[in-house]
Amino acid sequence: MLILPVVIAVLVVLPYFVPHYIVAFLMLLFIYVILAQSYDILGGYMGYVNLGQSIFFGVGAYIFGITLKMGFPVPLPFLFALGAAAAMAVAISFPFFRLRGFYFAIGTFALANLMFLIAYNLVITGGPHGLFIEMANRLTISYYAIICFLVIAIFINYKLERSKFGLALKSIREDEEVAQTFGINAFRFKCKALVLSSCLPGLAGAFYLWWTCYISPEMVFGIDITLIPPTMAFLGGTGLVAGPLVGGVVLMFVEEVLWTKMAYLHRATLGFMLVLVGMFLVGGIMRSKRFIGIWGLLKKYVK
Amino acid sequence: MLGEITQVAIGGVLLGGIYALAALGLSVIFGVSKVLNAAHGDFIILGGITTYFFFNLLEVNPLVFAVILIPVFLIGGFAFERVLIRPIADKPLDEMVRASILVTFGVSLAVSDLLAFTWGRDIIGVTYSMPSISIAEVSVSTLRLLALVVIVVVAVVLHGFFRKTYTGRAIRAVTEDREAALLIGTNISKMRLLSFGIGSVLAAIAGLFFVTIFTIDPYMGIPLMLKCLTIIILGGLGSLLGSLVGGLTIGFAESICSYYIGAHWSPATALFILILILLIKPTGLFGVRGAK
Repeated sequence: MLILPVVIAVLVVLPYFVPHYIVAFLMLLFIYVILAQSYDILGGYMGYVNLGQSIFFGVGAYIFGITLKMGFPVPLPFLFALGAAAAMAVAISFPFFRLRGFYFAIGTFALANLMFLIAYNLVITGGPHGLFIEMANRLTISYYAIICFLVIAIFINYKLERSKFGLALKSIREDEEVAQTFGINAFRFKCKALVLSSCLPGLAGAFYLWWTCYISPEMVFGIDITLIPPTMAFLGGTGLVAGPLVGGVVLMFVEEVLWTKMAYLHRATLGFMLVLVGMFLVGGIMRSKRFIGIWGLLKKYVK
Repeated sequence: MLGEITQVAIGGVLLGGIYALAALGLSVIFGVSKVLNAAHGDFIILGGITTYFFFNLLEVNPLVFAVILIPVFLIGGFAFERVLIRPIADKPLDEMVRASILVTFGVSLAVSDLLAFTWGRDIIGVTYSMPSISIAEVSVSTLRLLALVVIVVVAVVLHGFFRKTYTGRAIRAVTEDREAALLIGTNISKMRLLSFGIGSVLAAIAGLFFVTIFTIDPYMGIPLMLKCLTIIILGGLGSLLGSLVGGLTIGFAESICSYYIGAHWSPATALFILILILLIKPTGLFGVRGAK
């Protein structure tokens, strides 16, 4: 646990020492990990595979952009983005939590695709051309904001692991009916969990637009942003605090290596990785015997 | 005016028929193996690309290529099942669900990206025209009529297969009640293999029609899969009639939407209907099994 402040300190001073490209790369990685960690609230602790996490990201980004263009002064659009993402979570809860298991997964995936089409076709979102806001270099500010969110996201999962709320979610995952007989109002908890998991993606989306000054439906509702975070969570290990983080780092590392070797086919590689994870690492890296062995050795060294 | 509506209707029926065929493939696969094949849409596209490839070699009526597609995709489906599905099929349910989502989505991504890489991102279509004939004041392309006839024939053949042959009945048995089928000695592993073979063939044939009558592009896989899913959920899992009715409904809805609201919204139609159905009646119209 001592390494944590050191890592954070390194990340904070990084922009002053490394080229912009690396900072941007880290930003993207952190955004994906934020999405993966918040996915894990539903996916790992509650056992509901929510393939619609990108909905909150995209809604946050678009609402931020639209309200900014309408003229609201700076802090407000961020709040609007947060509010919109949370409102979306509440709205989705009512119809979608009637579904279970793979129906929920497909339903949320379909909804994410629907959001893409809506953003693509409406005038207010700029349609296929996307949304532009005034250009400015906000890399550093966004970087720090995203780091804050990342720390918060991991902290939320850490707290969830040890809290009563988290326990309730886990009981829902194990057996929803039995949990209800123990007095847990499943719907309330599911709704709260979804709202909780929507906040950080919404804010991250707003800051994403704040940094890049341009978004398109593909960037915020596309296949990449929809499937990569759950992949990271699966890869690292769902339901574990550091799972999505580990999965995220590994995935981005692999992708960067492959990006330099072959510029195309990176989605095919992602697909291939999904297949491998599905076939051999269903519990995630952190649950594989080799990792547990290595982790055990490391702990011994630290002690 | 009547002509207009009839054109839209015929277009809708044809589209629906093609969708129904593909959806039936997905339904068979899901019913028997409990795996939702997220790569199903990409099988359709593969069928279409194969047809396109052969059409460029020999310029004959593309429907002829079904003869090639059937064995190729039958074996392809078998291979897919043996290599990717068999290892995960016997795991405990929630692990199997997660694994199958990962594996099939992974295949879908890989296939669509590889196709885009090799064939370019253009829209591909087979241009083969047959003379139109006029009925009343409506002119219909003969090719479309022929396609419709073939689809009906295929549906009848399948119906016969599932009703009369031992294998067909075995597949239905596994779909309806897995434990009971096991008890009477049905070889589930073989049925699973077969279901993937049949499902892939149906998808490929649908792809053949798709590329002949409409156009395809490498990334259509996932939207097509979602449409097939809408259809089988709408029609009810495991029901041949359900898939047909569901397919026709979706085909109609898309045609009408495309004509009256605008083509750019028509992909959203199926998604919209899917979400509606999932919320109102997840077991579908003719569901044979309980949904879960």
